[in-house]
Amino acid sequence: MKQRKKRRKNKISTEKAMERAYKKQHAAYERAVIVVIIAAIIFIGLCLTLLTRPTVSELEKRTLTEKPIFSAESYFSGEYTADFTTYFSDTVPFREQLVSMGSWITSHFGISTPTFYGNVSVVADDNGQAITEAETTAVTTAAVTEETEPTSAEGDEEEIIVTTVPEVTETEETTTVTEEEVVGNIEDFSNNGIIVDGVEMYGDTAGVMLFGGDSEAGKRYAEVISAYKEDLGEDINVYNMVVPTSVEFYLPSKYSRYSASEKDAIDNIYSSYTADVISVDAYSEIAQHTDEYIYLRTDHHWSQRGAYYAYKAFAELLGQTPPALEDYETGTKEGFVGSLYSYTNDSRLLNIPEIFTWYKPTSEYTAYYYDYETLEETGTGTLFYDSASGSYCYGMFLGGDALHVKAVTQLETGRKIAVFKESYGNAFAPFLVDSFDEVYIIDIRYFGTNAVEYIKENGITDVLFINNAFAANTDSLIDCIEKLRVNPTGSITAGE
Amino acid sequence: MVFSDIFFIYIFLPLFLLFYFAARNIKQKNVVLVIFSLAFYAWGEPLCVFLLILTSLLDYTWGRFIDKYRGSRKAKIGLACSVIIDLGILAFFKYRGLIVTAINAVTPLELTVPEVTLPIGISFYTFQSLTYTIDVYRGKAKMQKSWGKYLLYLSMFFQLVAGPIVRYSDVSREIENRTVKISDFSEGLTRFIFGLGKKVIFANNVGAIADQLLGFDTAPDSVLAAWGGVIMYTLQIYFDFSGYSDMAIGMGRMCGFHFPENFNYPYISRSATEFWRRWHISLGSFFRDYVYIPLGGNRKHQMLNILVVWFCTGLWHGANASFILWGLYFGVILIIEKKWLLKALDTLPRIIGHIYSLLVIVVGWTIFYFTDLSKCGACMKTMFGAGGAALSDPVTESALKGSIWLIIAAIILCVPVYGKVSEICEKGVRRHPAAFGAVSAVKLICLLAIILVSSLLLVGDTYNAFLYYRY
Repeated sequence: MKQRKKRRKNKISTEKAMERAYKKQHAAYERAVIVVIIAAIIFIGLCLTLLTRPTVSELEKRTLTEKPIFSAESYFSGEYTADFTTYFSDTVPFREQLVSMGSWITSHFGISTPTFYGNVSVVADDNGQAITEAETTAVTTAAVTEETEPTSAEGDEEEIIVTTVPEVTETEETTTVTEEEVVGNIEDFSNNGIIVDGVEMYGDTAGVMLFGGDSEAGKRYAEVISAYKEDLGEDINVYNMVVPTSVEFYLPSKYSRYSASEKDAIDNIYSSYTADVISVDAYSEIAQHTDEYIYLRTDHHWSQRGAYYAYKAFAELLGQTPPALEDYETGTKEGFVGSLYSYTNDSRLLNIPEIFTWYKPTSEYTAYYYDYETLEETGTGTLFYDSASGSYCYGMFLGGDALHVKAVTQLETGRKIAVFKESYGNAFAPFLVDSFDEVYIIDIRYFGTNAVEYIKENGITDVLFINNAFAANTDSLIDCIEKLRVNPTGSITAGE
Repeated sequence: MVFSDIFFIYIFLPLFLLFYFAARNIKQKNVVLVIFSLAFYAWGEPLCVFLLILTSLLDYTWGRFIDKYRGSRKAKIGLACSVIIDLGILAFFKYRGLIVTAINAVTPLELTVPEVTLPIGISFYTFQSLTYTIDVYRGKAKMQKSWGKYLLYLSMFFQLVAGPIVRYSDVSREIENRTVKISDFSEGLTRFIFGLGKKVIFANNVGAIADQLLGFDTAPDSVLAAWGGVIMYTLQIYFDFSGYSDMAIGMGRMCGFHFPENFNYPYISRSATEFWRRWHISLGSFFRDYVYIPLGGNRKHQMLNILVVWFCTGLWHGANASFILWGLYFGVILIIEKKWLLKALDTLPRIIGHIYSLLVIVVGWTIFYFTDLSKCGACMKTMFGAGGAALSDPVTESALKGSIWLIIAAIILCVPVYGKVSEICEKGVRRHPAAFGAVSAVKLICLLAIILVSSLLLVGDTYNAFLYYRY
């Protein structure tokens, strides 16, 4: 009896001791939580305040939000604090590395699968035929709706706005340009979202931008170019080349309903002129070489090899024999990751950097660079910025979009060409030094005077409009082309 | 500023805690709390912060007035003034547009509909302030003598902008005096981090899928897109809102406040009635205690009372027809349940109740999601097989497959599995004290992982506003 009591007593006291030990342990755990978590927060907080903040993101190809300037007005409108919050999270030290770690994490939220970014909608039937006019138009207008507020992004790639690139310092060249645009503004495009993975190009996975298409805009594009022909008259040839993009050739048929046919879009444009514009059929030539590396896998642009085939088509139309590919000086740049990563942050694109191949004409020429607004000469050099590297590789052609360039060659054909282009034209235009005495390269978005006057004044004999299918179906870009025709002479207003 | 901003987590919060715990007595702590709260609110609403201060000043005064004339007609007048002014301010800022639209519809007048920008959190703090004057009138709360302390109650940044709707009587004692134990702080911090994870890891990512699948122009691409979209939204709104509440409750705990719970696993309900006892509890109980019961509750014209309450609940969420429709939808369902269905559900297997409730909830969120009623109709049509949409489509498949582990984890976290697991752990640890270290280490690593992963996701993310900031 006594023993039992004692045993019970013992048991109770051990239980009590255990409970006490547990409580002690638990208190230690609670302390550890506080110490560890608060230390982590303070450490990260200090890093965020003390480390240097980046100002540009190379991979995302954009300048990061700038620190807002305080004023009573901006404070009371709520702008200051909103901008400051955006600035603070946009310019986190080591942003690029952290973003790619974040996207690595999200890529493990599920099974790796082709991923659609943006508001992807059905725009065609399974044969790529546009479903109904009304529906496709609705889609494209939705896709190009301008969002001015970057903070309101909803995971859409349409939100990425400015794409200014920092200085491409050039040693052999005397050009003094400091900022250029390398990729176009994605809002400019009649796109229907982006698909990453699920598309194969040249033996590797790839991303492509889906084509929304807008046949009304296409008709208007043809009319706007026809108006140039009317203004320029009989003696000046007006050529129009609409370039297909990668989605046309590489999108597997199971996804074809998400991308309208660019062939149809091009045919639509080529049959809608109201004046004597000469179409350049680059499509057929490019379509013959789809097993060659003619488009970029991680970027919305073509490669220069693709641009060469377009040039070949143009030269043959002019009755010339273009140099063979082997006749160009060629070289490569490694580690190129293009705009599709900027738009999606999809780590799979980061993991498949491309080898960026360039082709330089060997004929002699001098390139004169001009400020696109004032048309004042800023320097001379070649049509290539050799130092462009990494995700800026496409900027090696003409140093980006915004520069107005004239190349003077040694030829004596008596013909001078003006090229009106968006960024697709950058890779294409250098080839023209083998076909014309002078080549004037003008970006439709950046030109500060009246284009018709300019063409006439410079004795230009041929005018080429070269735009990709997206651009030629996008109203805001068509507006730019129209604006250049009616701009007052000498006006210092850029296209956009 | 939202709780899931990098700036908030790593700058504002640590600075606040530093000053708060450096303060030596409760008076100083209260001052620190008021200053940081006003700074927090002014960060988002540099002008409307004065409206908040005005509201606090008014209701503080009405509180004194009601207390002074307690028992007389004047007290009643004071209460009426408080309610009318508070709701008037709310109506002016939130419902101005809706009211003008309504006037235009029923009269020949053609007034211009004003652009309404809603001051953040006004719906929440107006209701919080009302609980004070009403409870003082009812004798359920003591009149607050200090305006500073009343301002502290109303402006407290933890729950100021998106709830829970903390009643004055819930925290009146803690405003005067409170202590923070190590366990309070530690549990509060844990709760805050859980809330952060719910918001950033789950809500933001399933929300992006919902928006992708439901961002159609005319109709969803397929039946799977419609269901997938609304189910992702169902998950998003729970993780978003309950995550926010967790962060608010957690920060409150860290400073010695005990706020009422706002969510109790709403998606395990077996009826809509039960759902509303588990979802946004502080709002439901507000309407119960301050609207439904004063109207007569279940003693007279109960059905009418229910409809009024649910009309108000819908309206509270926004000056929009779809919110009102959503409220009335639940009103009608609750009436049906009260009259017949609850009894029937009791006799049926439990699983039927669960399926029925989830269906009602998901359809409810479909109404709630679309501000455009025609899109809502198109989505419902596709969901229930009208219109002959395809069963599935590649975009939806890839969106769901690409986040399938996250979605499964989210669904599991909707049931009280975490509580069960930690209970088992605790029992095991009590039996085997040696395992304590290992279990604790795992728990701690999880907490660290949640905060680090959330921060990484926040760096690249612009999709971050809390849904309930809109209300």
